[in-house]
Amino acid sequence: MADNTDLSFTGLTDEQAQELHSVYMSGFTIFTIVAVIAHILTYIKLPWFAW
Amino acid sequence: MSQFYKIWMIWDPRRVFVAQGVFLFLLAVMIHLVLLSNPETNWFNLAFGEEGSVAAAE
Repeated sequence: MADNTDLSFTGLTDEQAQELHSVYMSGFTIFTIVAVIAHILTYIKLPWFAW
Repeated sequence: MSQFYKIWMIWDPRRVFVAQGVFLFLLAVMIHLVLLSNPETNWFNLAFGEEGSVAAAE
């Protein structure tokens, strides 16, 4: 295994962690976009702060 | 923040993914049920309660 000085509890190397993180973040972005759209549509239908 | 990818060298991704999935699902179910429990935000009552009440009001 590539021995590097970085401590890794999960055994992932820096590159693997970065690659995984970029995939994770793109999934997170899609999730957020869908959530924002859903909240906007819901607010149009039922404004929950309009009291 | 740019170093945040190192989180995957600390926390096992599989465990994080499962935990996050379960947590988000339970949170979503809770929020939907909270809204359903409130007469004013219960979208079934709003849609089907007292037939034509909203339509008649317009």
